[in-house]
Order: sequence, then structure tokens, then C-alpha cells
Amino acid sequence: MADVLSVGVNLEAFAQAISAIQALRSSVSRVFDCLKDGMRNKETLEGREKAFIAHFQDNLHSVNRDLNELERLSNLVGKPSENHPLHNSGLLSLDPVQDKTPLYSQLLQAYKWSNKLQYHAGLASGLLNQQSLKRSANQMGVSAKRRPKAQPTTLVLPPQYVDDVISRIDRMFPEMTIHLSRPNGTSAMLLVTLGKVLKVIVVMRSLFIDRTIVKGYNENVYTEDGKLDIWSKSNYQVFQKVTDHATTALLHYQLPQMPDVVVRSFMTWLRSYIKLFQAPCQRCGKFLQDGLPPTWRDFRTLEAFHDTCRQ
Amino acid sequence: MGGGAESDSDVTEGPRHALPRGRVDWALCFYVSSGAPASIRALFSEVVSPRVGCWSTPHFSCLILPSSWPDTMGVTCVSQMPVAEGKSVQQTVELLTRKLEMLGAEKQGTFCVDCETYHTAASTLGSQGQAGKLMYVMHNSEYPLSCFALFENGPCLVADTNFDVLMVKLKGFFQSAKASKIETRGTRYQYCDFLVKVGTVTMGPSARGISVEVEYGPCVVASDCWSLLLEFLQSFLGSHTPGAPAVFGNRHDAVYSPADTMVQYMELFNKIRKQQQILWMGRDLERTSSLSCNFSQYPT
Ligand SMILES: [Zn+2]
Repeated sequence: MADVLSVGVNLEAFAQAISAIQALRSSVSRVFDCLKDGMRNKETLEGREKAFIAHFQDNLHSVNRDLNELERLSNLVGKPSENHPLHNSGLLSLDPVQDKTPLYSQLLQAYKWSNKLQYHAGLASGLLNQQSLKRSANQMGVSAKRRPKAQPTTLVLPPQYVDDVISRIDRMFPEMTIHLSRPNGTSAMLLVTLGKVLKVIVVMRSLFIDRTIVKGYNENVYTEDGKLDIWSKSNYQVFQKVTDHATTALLHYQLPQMPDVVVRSFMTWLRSYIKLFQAPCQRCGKFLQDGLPPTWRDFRTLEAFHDTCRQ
Repeated sequence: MGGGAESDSDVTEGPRHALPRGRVDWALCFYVSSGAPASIRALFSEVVSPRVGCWSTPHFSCLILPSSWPDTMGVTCVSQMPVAEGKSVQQTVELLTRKLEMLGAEKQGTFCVDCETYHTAASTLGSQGQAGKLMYVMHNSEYPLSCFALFENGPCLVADTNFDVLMVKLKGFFQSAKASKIETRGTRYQYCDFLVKVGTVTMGPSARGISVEVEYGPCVVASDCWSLLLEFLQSFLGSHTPGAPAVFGNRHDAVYSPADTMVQYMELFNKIRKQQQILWMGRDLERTSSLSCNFSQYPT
């Protein structure tokens, strides 16, 4: 509290100002009382009017006097709220029951946090703007008017076009087989089998990839009623890790104007897992780290790294 | 020759378990044990007699394989861990399991693999001078409803546990070798996607050796993950890390199956049996040589 006092609050003037306010309020209410009571009984009408006007004048004068007094005191009180970085909320620190209501310290904490958040968000948006391939960068680069136009066109691609893109990718990679189905209307689902290494379930929305789940070659990918099981995860830690990385890859490969390029890039990246169990880590040279093989594949070079060895 | 209705329904269960062609003697075993009518069984014993391996027997496929039988398992390596010098089998097993626990492996129940040897009965040997084959009938606690039958260097048959009953019925063709039962029992450990089973191999009442089985669940092609498996084996077996199992070399990029594991156990058990025989022979030699020594001490 000491530092708040030093900001320049004149406590005595403050107390006087409060009593000045009280005085002002009572004189104002006297004015209204006088008006309410109206003219009192006097012998003559003239006498009655004179007495009423004199009384009313007195009351207005005292209102005027009290108002002047309050203005004078308010100058003495100073303006502590403007000097404080938290403005009026800084006055919370004057609350004598600090222990019961730690509102002020919480407020300071929140203030620091929001400051930091703003700073980091600024840095992040600067970095993202430099990466032209990312979804956010594109949407930020494109003007707000153009964006809603671009999205719907790629979302209403005819199924035939999607089929063509997928079958072209299927022919591109001999060790990869892609089975396309549409169990829920127009959205396609892919079951990608990569050699004898893994299976990937890919849920599409038009040509956008919405979700992927990676499972082992010998794991079941169907539910009991014979549909692709898009919810349950692999029993093996290695494929759970690869699923996480594939989800990261979906966010990395984004080019809203050319969704077919995105799907092809993603599949090319996915194909590098054909050597999931055969490629040692390019950084530490080992196969295993904490019981897991190198599960990360670099987005550009497709080199194998352990999750903790990549940079 | 589709016997009863029961076996017909089984045939549809799947060509994925189809027998290797030309292995008709196995087809017969399948069929009889699946509970075919007695008349058909009698017919076959006539056709087959005096040999089990009758090449004119029609081909039947997989009548008794349970439909829930798993096609694949993770690539597995079974090896023998030598007993540490100056230590007992039990102490060596404890050392090994402590090492695994230090690595972060977690205990997950127990396991057991057993094996019984059968000879082809002398009376059934054909006139063509065919040598008597050894057959191994094995069980694995990982597959409690199944029974494995193997020939040395031959195919591995996966049947349901009725096969044990069949072997009793086929007493005329196959005879159980005396005191041939060998088994390994121990604890299962889980470490990440690895399953490690350390077992004590026993023949009769006494411990004869240590088996170490390591399965890497996510991978189904042996040649894909041997280097990775080797690195893991080295982390707790050190200088006792084995070479690649023979079954890995046989089938280039085929999917690894539970039968491959059973073949490895059969080979491990045979190796331990041979070690015991050499040990006994050695002891016999020692005894005779010490006797002759004693004789030589007698004054002539
Ligand atoms: Zn590494």
C-alpha cells in the first residue's frame, strides 16, 4: 500500500471530499424537499410567495457552495488513478482485506500473462507469415474477401475428380495400395496399405484430408459391422507415434488452392515409412530409443529420426 | 470327399490356412481328428495302411483349425541363454529378469511351451526303406486352444487340442518317445512394443537351460526388423546375443507366423537335448576312465 500512497493520494483531502459529497447530496435533497412542500400557509398570498422564493434561493445557494467546495477538494485529492499502470483497478490495492480477497495480485498476474501472450502471438504470426506452404500463412496472405471464395470451390469437387486424383497417386507408388470407399455419402475414406509395414485410414472431405489413423499391418482396421474403424487407435506405441506425426504432416502440407498437390505430398511423405523398422536414426545412428524405432520423417528430406532426435 | 456336415462348414473357414500341397499325411490327421464318422475313419486306415504317408490320399485342407486362429504374430526370436559361470539356472534367470526390470520392462503374467517327441512306429515303415521320422507335438500357452505338430525340417501343422486325442488313437503309427517331454516355463515381460519371455527349460524334474523369447509385435516381416531386434537383444543379453534364427532365412519377405516360433522352440529343445546327451556321455567317459585308473593301481 505504501507505494500507492506515494503516487500522491492525499488521504485527508479524500476524507474531506467525501464529507463534501455528503453535504452536497443533503443540500440537493433539501432543494427537492422545498419544491415538494410548496408554499406554506401565510397570512397573504404575497407573503407566501416571498417566503417560498427566499427559501428556494437559500437552498440553491447552499448547493452552489457545496459544489464549489467539492471541486476545490477534488483538485487536492489529485489523480492517482491515471498515474497507475492499471488505472482505476489499481485502487483495488487499497483494499485493506488483502488476505481474504487477493484480487489485486491475481489481477497483476493476469496482466503479465496477457502481455506475454500478446508478445508471443506477435512473434508466432511473424514466423508463420514467412512459411508460404502453411495453411495459416495462405489464409493470412489472401485478403479476407477472397478467402471464402477459395474454400467452397475445393469443397465441392465432383467425386469423380477425387477418384481420379487418388487412383493416379495409387499408380504412382507400387508398394502402396489405396482402397477408396464412400460409406457416409460423398466423403471418401481411404485405406492405404504400405508394403507389409502399416495400414493408414484416411478420412477425406472432398480432397482435404481430415483425419488419419496409422495401424500395424496385422491389426484389424474394421469394426464388427465391417466398416472402417476411424476411431480406435493402434495397440502398438510405434504406430500411435506415427499417427501423431501424420497428423502434424496434415497441418504442414497445406495449399488450399491445389488440394491434389497436398494429397500427393502427404502420400509421398507417408511412403517413406516403408523402411520404418529398417532405417536407423540419421542423428544418433541407432534403431531404438526408449523401445521405439525412428518414427519421425523429415518433411523435406524424408530422413528418419527419433522423435527426440529431430530438430 | 467332404465328410460330415461339420467338416463342410469348417472348410469354408478359409483358404488362408491351406496346407502345402503334397503333404497329404497331414491332411489325414486333420480329417480324422475333426471328428469324422467312424466309417470314414475306418476307410482311411485301410487306404493308409501300412504307412501313414500315403501319397494317394485326397487333399483336405485345414478342417480342424479354429477360425479364430491368428494369422500372424510379431517377428520373434527364440534363443538359449547359457548359465552364468558359478551360478545355478535359477540365479541366472533372476539376473536376467532383474536386468529387464532395470530397463523398464513390466511383468505380465507367465507362459509355458511344451514339447513331446513321437517316433514313427517300426511296423508302419514302408518297404521303400523310408527312415522313421520324428514328430514333435507342442503346446504354447499363448494359444491355449491350439496344438502344434512339427516334423524336423518339415511343415508345421496347427490344429485344435483334439490333436492330442488323435495322437492317442494313432498309437499304431506314432509312439511317444520315453521321457521325451521337455518344457519351458517362466515370466512374460512387456517393454514398449516388445514382449520378452524368459523361461527355465526342464526335462523331467531338473532344470536344463534357459530360453529367451523376444517378440516385436508391430513388425510381421522378419528381414525388416532383424537389425532392430538385434539392438534390443544386445541391450540385455550382451555377449550372449544370438544370431538370426534359421527360420528368418527361409522365407524372404513372408509374413511371420506363430508356427515359425514353434519351429524355433523345437530347435532350441533339440539343442538342449543334445547338450544333455554330450554331458551324460562325458560323465560316462569320466566314470570309465576313473575306473580304469583304479584298475591300473592294482598290482598285477
Ligand atoms: Zn536418434
